[in-house]
Amino acid sequence: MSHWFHVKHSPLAVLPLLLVPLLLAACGIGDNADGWAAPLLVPDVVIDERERDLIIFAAGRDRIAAIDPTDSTGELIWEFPDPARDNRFRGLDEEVPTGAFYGDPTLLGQDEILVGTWSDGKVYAIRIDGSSARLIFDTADSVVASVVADDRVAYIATTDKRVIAVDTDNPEEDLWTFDDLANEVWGTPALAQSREHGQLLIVPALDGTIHALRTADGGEVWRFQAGAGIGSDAVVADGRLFIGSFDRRFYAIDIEDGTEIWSREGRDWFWTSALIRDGTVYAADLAGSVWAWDAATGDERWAEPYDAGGAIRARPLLMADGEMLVLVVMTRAGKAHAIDSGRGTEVWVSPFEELDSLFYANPLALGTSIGSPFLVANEAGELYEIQVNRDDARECFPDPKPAQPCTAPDGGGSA
Amino acid sequence: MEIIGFIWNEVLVNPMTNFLIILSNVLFDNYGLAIIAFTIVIRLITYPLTLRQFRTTRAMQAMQPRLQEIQKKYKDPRRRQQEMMKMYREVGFNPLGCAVPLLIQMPIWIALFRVIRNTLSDAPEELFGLSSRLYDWSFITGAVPLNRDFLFLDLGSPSLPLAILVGLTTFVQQKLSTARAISPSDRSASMNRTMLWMMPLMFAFFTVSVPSGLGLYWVVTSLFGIVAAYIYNGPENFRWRDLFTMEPMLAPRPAAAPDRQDQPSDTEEPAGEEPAAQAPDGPTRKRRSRRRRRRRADAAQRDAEQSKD
Repeated sequence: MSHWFHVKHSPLAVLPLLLVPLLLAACGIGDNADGWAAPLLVPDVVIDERERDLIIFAAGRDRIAAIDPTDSTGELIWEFPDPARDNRFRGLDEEVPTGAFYGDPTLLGQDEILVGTWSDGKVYAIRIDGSSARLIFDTADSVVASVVADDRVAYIATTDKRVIAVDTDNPEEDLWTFDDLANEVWGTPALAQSREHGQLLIVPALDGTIHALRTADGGEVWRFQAGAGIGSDAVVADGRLFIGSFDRRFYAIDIEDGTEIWSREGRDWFWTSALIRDGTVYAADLAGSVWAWDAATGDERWAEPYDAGGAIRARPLLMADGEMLVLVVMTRAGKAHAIDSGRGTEVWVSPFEELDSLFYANPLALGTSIGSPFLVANEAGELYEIQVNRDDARECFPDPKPAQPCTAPDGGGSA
Repeated sequence: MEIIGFIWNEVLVNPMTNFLIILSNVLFDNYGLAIIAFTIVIRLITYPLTLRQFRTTRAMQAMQPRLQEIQKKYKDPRRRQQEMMKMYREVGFNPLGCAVPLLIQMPIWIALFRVIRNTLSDAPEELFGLSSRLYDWSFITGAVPLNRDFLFLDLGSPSLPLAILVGLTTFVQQKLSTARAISPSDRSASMNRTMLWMMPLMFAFFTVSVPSGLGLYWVVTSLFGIVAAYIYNGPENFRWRDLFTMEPMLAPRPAAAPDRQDQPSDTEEPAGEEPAAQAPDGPTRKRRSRRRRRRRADAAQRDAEQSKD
């Protein structure tokens, strides 16, 4: 080694520096996008002259797929794009690039779902039975937020600071485009009915600006500025918008004029979508605190927030347990918590440890009672079925166990 | 391993993250300016090490003739090695002096890579971990998300023009901070030439794969290095036409022993051919002796270049 020094020290000196890029490569250069599209239940889909309940979800991080959860083989009924057709799909001429899906699949009418892609920013309408797909819009950027559908109109919020309204029956020309967004959009917009302005589309931008646009013409009615960015979905109930921000505050905003009705401080960023039921707002923050506020006044419903012990992005669920409503939350680390929604106390915590992956996606309840399971999708695009008071998490995709099949969505099956 | 992770996060990544966000907030919500300011701060903090690197390079320049003499004189590799080590000891030369500033930059670069990934996050999931890294101060927490646009760059995504700029600035910095071997045909000269194009090429190549915020850091750090090297070596050692050759810019200093003041360690003075370098007493004599040596070195350098031409 010292011989190097005799010749010249500088080549040796820079060698460690040359290793830096290699180290960085080891650290994971490249696309780390996994997506967090939530599963969608579509009942009674006729496939091969047989009615089936389908779960449509982002399988394996890079494609949208449909399964019958009760099929213990875990076989996909269809997948988009289709690897068997060189990543093409029936009805589409061009190849569909594989990549993450962040927006939840959205039902368009009875027959199609809308999905936006992260990798190339295209929005497709896929027939639920998987028979064909069509391109609705090419944003030429990325789509993170779910596409909002109202009748036959799709509202697409993009990462290049635009909102586009498209008639899905005539997608060649957009109805209107709003391109004065303050930032890109990650949270899903919400439709709201204003007394004064008619129907509005509430769009939360990543920099914390919330835009209210008329759906008729895309005109901006008002905008609201939160203290920091917003990544969560907009939720509207009773003339109010409920949304959390990275400034650790949760806001209730008047739909009519965009003024703040109340706001409350959490312990960390809010990234969950709120759940509103019977005048109570439920939301969780990245510290793992679950909050319940009076929707009208912002008063706390519980003596103290419930501590789930880990960051939560997935939207809570409410399930009935006799007279009691149970709030179910899923931490990013894969722990499910059932909470008494009236008092904020623990009812049940999942005892299993096998879910060794990250859970960002909203869960899908397969029923309304605590006896019904719910589905959760992890970052790897695997699908699990969890049920409150059951000690195991059942894998529905990709490797379901024949001895422990997932439950039929109607609450029957093996549970 | 846990303790290493703790130190890595709590001592390097998290403070850097918060510092950059504060800078961004102060600098008109401009993350690009924050990265530039951050780079300058880091280069100022590590400037003593940069100086040490320059001194080592200068010492290397000065030792070239003696190194070549030893190489010619001793054919036995072992003996040659002993003589070289002896000479290093005599002049107080530490070959690693050149590597330290680069080694110091290594963890900073890797940490900055993490910081930029965390703060600018191309994929939404990557922003998730940021909340746990931020200090509980609304000035910081309220700054998210950061503005990722700077000039023509999206700081969270790779940029080809920036990669070319990284390559160019690294090339110039390399040229200014590497001593040219006295004999262009020897192994060290060829190695220097290789490093001269290989390192910029590698950094340019990897800049294409990483967020351009990291490339911006590298451009600024190289520009800082270029300016510092220019000032340290003096305009007389800089010629524009040398930029377009594949040789290091710093010519060897045939007649000069390494400047004693420039040496980082306190070992004994070089013996033999440099009487002025032998233990001068008093600051005035030291300065005179240094001036004499510099004049001789410059004259010898001119002679060497003239004879070469």
